[in-house]
Amino acid sequence: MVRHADYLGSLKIERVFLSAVGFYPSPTSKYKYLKNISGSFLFILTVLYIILALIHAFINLTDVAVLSENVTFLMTVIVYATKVVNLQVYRKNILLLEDLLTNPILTELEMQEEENIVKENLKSARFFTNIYKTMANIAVSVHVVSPLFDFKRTGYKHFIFLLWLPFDRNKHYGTVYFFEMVLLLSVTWFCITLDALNILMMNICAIQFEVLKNRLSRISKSFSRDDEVDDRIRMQKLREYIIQQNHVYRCSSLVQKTYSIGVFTQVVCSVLIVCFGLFKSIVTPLKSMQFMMLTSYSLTMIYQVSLYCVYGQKVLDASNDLTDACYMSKWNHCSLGVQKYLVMIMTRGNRPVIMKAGGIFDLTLETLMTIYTSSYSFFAIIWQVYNTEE
Amino acid sequence: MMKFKVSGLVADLMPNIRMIQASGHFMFNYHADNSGALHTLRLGYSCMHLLFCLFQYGCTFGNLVKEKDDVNYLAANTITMLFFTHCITKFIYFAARSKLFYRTLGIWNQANSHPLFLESNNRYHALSLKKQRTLLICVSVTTILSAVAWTGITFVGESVHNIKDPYNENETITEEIPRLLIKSWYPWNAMSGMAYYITLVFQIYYVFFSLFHANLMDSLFCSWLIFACEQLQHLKEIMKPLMELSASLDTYVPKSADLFRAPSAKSQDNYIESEYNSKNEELNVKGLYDSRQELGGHFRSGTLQTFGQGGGGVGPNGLTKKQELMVRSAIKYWVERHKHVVRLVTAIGDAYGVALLLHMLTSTVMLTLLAYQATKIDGANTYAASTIGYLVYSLAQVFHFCIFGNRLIEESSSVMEAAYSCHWYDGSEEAKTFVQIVCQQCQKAMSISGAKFFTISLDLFASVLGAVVTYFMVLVQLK
Repeated sequence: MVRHADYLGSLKIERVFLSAVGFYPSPTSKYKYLKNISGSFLFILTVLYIILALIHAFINLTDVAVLSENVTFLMTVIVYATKVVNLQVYRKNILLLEDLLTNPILTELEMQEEENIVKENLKSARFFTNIYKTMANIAVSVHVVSPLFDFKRTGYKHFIFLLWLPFDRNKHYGTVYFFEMVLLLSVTWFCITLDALNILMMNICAIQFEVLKNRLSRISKSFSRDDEVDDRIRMQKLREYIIQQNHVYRCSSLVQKTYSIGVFTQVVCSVLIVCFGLFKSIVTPLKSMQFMMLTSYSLTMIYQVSLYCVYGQKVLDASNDLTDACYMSKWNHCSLGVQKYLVMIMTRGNRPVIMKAGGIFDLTLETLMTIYTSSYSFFAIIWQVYNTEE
Repeated sequence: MMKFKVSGLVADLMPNIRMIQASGHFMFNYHADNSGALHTLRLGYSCMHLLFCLFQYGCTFGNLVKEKDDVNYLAANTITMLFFTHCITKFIYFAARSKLFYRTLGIWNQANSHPLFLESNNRYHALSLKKQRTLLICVSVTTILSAVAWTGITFVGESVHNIKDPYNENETITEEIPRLLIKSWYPWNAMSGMAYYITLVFQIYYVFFSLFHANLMDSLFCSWLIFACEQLQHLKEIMKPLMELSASLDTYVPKSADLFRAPSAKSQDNYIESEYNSKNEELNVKGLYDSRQELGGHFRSGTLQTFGQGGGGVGPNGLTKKQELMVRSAIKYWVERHKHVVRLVTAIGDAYGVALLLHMLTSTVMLTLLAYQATKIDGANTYAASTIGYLVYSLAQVFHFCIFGNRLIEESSSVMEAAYSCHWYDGSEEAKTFVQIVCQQCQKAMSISGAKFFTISLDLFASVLGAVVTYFMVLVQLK
């Protein structure tokens, strides 16, 4: 019985959610117009917010506290808009990716062991992505609820976002608050779904490399009693594995190209927000609602950047060990023909797949370390300056 | 009582292992007698050390909490705490992951051997033993000197340490505190008398043993790397004779002495037990030319190069079948030995990677604070001496494992160059494909990474040193 790995099925939640609003190209044209309309509505709302927030920022350029608050949210929404546009621009790539992920060359599994590898990895990635979604939801709920708490406490009407509106906000508190909430929820949910999609696709690339490595390290196993027959079988299998290897490389480069710009803006924005957050944490009193909003938001951003880097590193590791996997098989017991095939596989395997964000940053644990240490040094210096000034 | 038999890496590193066990780490293997009573005794010994160290660590933390109002004292106490965090971390890390350490130590228990390359193997083994011993001696001497220096500096400085302000808000007065190695808070009064002397002895014990806990672990790691590097050197050296073997004429039967024109072993065999050599020779004389045993019965020579008209004659390279088989066995030895080294390096990385990551994280924070402290040096006094002492010691610890990590990277990447520079063009087809595969495999250097976050190399040390200097410059400017 031939087993298949259901890669596309593991992405079902994200794909359904995004195609329901037309952000993700769906193969069927059912309700196409409805989806397009809802997608355009949400996008227009987002653009409207960006314009209004920019106006507000320009008006309050001199007030640093307000400006930093404003800019933080503005950046998040701009990043979200970039990601949506990015996905729309690369619609064709998405459809190609879907084809690749359902191609039997990539999904066919030989042994139970491979099936276990696939299942385990898919499950663990899903687990970590769910943690991310939970953290984001907690941050969002804190932000939605806190203006209401402030309202109860001070009686002064607070809003979630800092906007410039052509009319007096306090008169239409309910409607404005409702729209702001819709915007905040839609931005967050679609943003985290897009992130989850990206991360899970990187995970799938890593899994494919693992399966390939597993097969290559078993190439010297004897399939029959006869050496000649063994040799022929090995050459045949190696030919298939090389075709599979090419497909896997193609899949990884497609994933990288499709999401590159979105990831780049996301990582830069997250790092800036974390730095701002660290700076504000010095000035904000410890036991206020403000501090809780600040921590929940910053922690979610840190976790998000870490998740990208960890899964980028996972792809790097999986593709790096390809040469080792070939070497660790008992190649010196195989015929010269098999050995020469292995040499070519190893030559290609020596160049690992490094997921890049925007062609500039590598998504690896080294970059993550740089981000952490730079933010820490930034924080340390600001703290010293603040303390000596006091 | 029968002597406990050990082999491979464990035999080489026995002094390290004994010192680690003596200092109280949770290492319970490698004893001749592992009965229940003795095991409980050893477990109790290690737990006692752990409890004492944690108690003193807690007391230091108590002092930090007590003096947290003054920024200067806060910084100084944090540095002391972070310094001893290394020791506690390594202690607990070893206890938690001792299985991985045992696995790494046991990986080299069964090494393959080949009569042609025995002499080279033994020579490099002796070299690695010598280096490991030298390293152990250096590290122990440095640790003892540091502990002695710490004790000495306690008695050199002024007897009055503390500066506090009880009654007046703006004034500070000096208050006497006990003249101890580490400022700590104790539930008893340690100012004078019997309590003072007991506390002093306890602190001397603590400093001495904590420094040993951390340094012995690092030295074990570096000894593993020394061993791996010497094995790689051995493999590089035998590449050329291996090629010559496959390129030789049919009448030429190589003798090991001819293959090695190096100024060989001036009997550096002092460290090698005689059993090692003789056992290996016994094993190999039997099965050398037996193709079935060598190749596991899988092989028919028909699938390899055809030996001209009718078998048993002279092949295309002028080799007889016998020599062909000898070349094949030599290649097998090389490949298996190299794979063994790769497995060893992977095991080392798995065992110690996280410890290195924790060490670097603690060091980064500590060096930042030390840079800040260093800006407040105003003359040649005990403050300056202790700050510079902390700095040099921490940087030396980082340098210790960076230099051996760097050597591993260099050695493993030079294997490819050695493979290319041997006369592969004269070798048989089999030998040429072998060189091809080895070149592909060794293009990437083997390195130890701190749980994939960074690579242990001299670049890491340079970046740490650069960061410290940068902080120092920036903070001096801000003053």
